[in-house]
Amino acid sequence: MNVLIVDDEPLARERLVAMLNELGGDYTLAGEAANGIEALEQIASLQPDIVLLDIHMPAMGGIEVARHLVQQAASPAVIFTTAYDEYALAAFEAQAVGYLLKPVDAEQLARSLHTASILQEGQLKEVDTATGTKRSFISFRLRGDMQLVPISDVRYFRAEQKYVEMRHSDGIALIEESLKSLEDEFAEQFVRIHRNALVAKKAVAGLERDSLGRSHVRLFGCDERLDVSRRHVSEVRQLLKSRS
Amino acid sequence: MKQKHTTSMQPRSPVKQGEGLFLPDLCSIRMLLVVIVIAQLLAFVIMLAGSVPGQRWQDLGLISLFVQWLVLCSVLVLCLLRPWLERFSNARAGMICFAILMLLTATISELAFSYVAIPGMDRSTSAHVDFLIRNLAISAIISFVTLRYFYLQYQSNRLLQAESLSRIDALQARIRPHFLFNSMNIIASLTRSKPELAEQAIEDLSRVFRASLARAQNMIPLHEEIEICKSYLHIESLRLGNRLTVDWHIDEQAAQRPVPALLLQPLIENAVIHGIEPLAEGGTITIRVLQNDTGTLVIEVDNPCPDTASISNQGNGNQIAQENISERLNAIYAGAAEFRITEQAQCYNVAIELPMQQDTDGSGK
Repeated sequence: MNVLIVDDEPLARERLVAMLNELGGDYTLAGEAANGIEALEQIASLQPDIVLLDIHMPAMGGIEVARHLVQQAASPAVIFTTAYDEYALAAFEAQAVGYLLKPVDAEQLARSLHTASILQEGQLKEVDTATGTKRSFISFRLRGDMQLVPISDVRYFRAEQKYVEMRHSDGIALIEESLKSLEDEFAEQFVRIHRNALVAKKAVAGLERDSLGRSHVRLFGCDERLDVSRRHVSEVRQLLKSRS
Repeated sequence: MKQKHTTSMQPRSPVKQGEGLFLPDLCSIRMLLVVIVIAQLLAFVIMLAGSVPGQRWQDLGLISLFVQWLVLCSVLVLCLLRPWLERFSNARAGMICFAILMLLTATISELAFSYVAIPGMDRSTSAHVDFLIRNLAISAIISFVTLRYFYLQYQSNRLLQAESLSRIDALQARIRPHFLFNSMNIIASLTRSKPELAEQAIEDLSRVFRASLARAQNMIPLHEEIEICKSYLHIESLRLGNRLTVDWHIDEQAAQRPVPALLLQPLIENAVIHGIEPLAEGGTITIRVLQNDTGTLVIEVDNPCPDTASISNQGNGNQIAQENISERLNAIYAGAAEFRITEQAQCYNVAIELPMQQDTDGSGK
């Protein structure tokens, strides 16, 4: 069993490494990561069986890491670690996802690792909706590798036949999420302009109307125009008005 | 963007105003039982107070029948109307309840007078009016007392709830579970690798907790407060490693001035939690303490300001500490102190200005 240790605090990692070494047996240290983004990279390259994942971390927290892992085909078993997190704990207790309280005690660590090595997959699905946290990245797969795009770089999401097309500052990606769930999660940053499109509020440059009376949204930094359905015109107009 | 707040802070009340109806749920079995027993006791009182010897048991039967009918009808009506009554303020709901009870009394009295036949009963108009008025008066008194009782009970419950909530809040603010358990975690780690650092961390932790459990109203020399801050920062730098850099600029004379205890430490804690922790690469906290020409003591804390998007999950502990400090400064300096927050794209600055105070200041100006 390869174990990846993820924590932003060096001393916290040090302790877990030492405890893991003492446990011996099947468990070997696969590697260490200091934040969520590093963790996802390490998980992709090292393919650990189990991840000890801290919840509070800079750049990307543990819960968001878990949410990206859910979308992967073969994800490692995750055990969360946290010093004190009443909300997250309540959610995990309800969902029976493994978690450890810091300072972690050796016996509990051994037990959780044992459970995780049996369970492996399937436990992560529940994390998704239970905790109510918002992601700061969107992940997608490109030739088998996971790619991350900061949500602040996304210009719009547009639903196509089977996928959602995500236009970001570096290109276009296809993701497997519903527009509705994206809308719910990112309601603060995005606005619905059409049955099939969700646009970043800060990307909206202006509203224009063509000779046929249809409305379009102009975007900052790209020439594309997006259709605005009649139902949503007023919301876009309000957004533009609130800005000036 | 510039913000300036000195006095106007939203008070945090744990229980929202105007929440819930004062009327208890009368439909519960327990409540119903209590009501029936009390109604029966009332019937006894009326019987003992008014009836002629020899006729008491017969009277009691009639009175009980009447009172129970009235009370049970009232309970039923109020119980059914409860959802509707919840839309009104408590004062209005109380008046509506009272009116309903009066109406029910009048109706049932009328029905009783017309349909219950007792041998030898006086059926004259004056007896009718007298019966009605007497019933209404008794009912008015009892209704008033009961509604008042419900209201007082509701109020005391609410107060109790609010009090215990605010006590928990205060306790949590003092103990700061995140800080405590994170510190315990690093101490656990250090005991293995560097016992002497662990020992020092325990000393630092004790100093910080001793200070936060002391009375917040005390004035202490600023340099003592600075010592506490250094202990706190020492623990945090063990935890955050090289992500945390602290830059102190202290004017020695200014450090002699008295300040309210725990003025600076919560601000520095905020700077660590909201300015340094969310940054993977870390940053620098700058603390400046100086005294200007007019004798005003200026304390400033600067920290980097991460994207708001990346700290959206962190909660608003920030605000609570700031509100608390602002309120305390107002109380102690009666509006003469300033508390300023300046937020720029990259940097967050908190500044406190304390005027020279004649009675507490040692330099005798």
